[in-house]
Amino acid sequence: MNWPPLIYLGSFLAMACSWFTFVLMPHLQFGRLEQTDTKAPTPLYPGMTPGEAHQGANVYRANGCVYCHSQQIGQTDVGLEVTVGSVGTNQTDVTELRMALRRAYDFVAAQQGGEAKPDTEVTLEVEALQAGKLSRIEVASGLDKRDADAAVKIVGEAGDDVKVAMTVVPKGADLERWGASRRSVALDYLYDYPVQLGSKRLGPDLANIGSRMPDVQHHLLHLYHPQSVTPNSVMPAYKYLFEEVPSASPRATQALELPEGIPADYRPSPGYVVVPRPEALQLVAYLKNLQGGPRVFQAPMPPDAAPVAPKADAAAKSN
Amino acid sequence: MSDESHNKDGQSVQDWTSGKTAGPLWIMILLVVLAWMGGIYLDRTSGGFNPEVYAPYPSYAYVKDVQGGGDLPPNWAKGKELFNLACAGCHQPTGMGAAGVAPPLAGSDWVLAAKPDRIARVVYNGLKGPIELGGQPFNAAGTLMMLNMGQQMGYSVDDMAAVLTYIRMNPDWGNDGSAVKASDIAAAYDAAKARSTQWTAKELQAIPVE
Repeated sequence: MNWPPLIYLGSFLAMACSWFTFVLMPHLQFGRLEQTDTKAPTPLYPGMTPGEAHQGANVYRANGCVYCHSQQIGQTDVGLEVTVGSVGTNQTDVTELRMALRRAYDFVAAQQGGEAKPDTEVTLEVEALQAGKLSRIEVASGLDKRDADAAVKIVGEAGDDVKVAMTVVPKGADLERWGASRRSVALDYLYDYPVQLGSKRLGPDLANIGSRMPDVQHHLLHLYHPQSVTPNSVMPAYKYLFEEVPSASPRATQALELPEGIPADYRPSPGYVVVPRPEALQLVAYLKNLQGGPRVFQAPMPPDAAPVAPKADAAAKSN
Repeated sequence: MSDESHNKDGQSVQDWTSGKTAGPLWIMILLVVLAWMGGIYLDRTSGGFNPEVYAPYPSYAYVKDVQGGGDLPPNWAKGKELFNLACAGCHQPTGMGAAGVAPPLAGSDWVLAAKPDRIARVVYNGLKGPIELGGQPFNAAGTLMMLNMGQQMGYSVDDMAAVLTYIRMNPDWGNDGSAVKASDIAAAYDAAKARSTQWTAKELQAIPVE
């Protein structure tokens, strides 16, 4: 057998497969991503980074923030909710809904375990829904797809006037901890170059830091002396992003308010105040611009989802 | 020694052709089993290698199914296109209108009336003069005027039904009116087509919408 050509062909094929899978296919799949129409309030998402935030992205990159902070929110699970939005006005609709709900509750109880809702409560909530006192009835939550489809079908048997909806509730530790309403998807990074996903979380995730912590002064103080904001922080102090100016200077209006316990070498000299350099302001503008995105196709979320408030203890510890 | 097992230099020579040897069978079986398990894993978690499918969703069909807001009638999307083309310039994509330009459509009692006969006429022939929105006067000075957009755009009955469906059922605007079919506005369309001037609020009030 003439081995050399075969060996050459073998190694070429191996490298071609690798290139195909890791370079060509991803480019074909993600390389042509475009802004998407998200309905409201800004129709096109994502938008190009506004001016100062764009400069801040370079400051973020230059200071290597990506080595300790990530910018991606993950999701581990999906719970499906089945709700009833409205019922018709006449009595037969109400009765049918009540019976359908009875069957649905029994079905859900059989699937998930636990007690089915008693008849009296079912009657009360259907009446409340019809009277407008209740905006919707939550039939079940945390279902998987098969059960949710079955529950929707059962409730849907109550007739055409009944508005049954199945909403998806994303679940995951990241979502809870950072108070995000959905996970990050490739579209979120469309105008980031390079994409600063990060691989370590020595510091908190920053994907929605702008909506979590909008206070500029807080960010500036945190950059200047992290330990005065978060007592046991391991973040280095970015003192060189700030400078001292005389108190009479026009820039003194931007002076940082330094807390009492700050170490002596972080205090300005007498007659001087600490002000942020342009780089610090740009970096904070960049951070403020990092807000979780609106609804996109790839990451379904409930229609009226507001971001969940981040867990209080995590916020105190690591924000 | 000159025999077949030594060459002329005396080196020991075996049959040096590279014949076939069988590899260990257990490795082959193990690899096949591992490949099969890998295939099952990919089947469950790869989402068909579809770029729109992210963890933990199992497939594109699932993601499509749980999008929510799915009970919009089929002509809603077309109505949205037509609206953005012809109407959003003044009434804004948010449906909020703009003071001194156009009245809001979001939450408007005109839009959400039980029957779309009045707004069908307005869309086709336009409107001039002061009107009352939710009891509040709008365009009291009569300086604003809506042109006959439907007529200019050459709307058919279906086009008009699509636009009306969109503005009546837009969840982002909070409008939860009913859908509009072409048959619902057939009479209104004929009346509008026969007319060449804009409507006034007074004439429209005479048209029943309950």
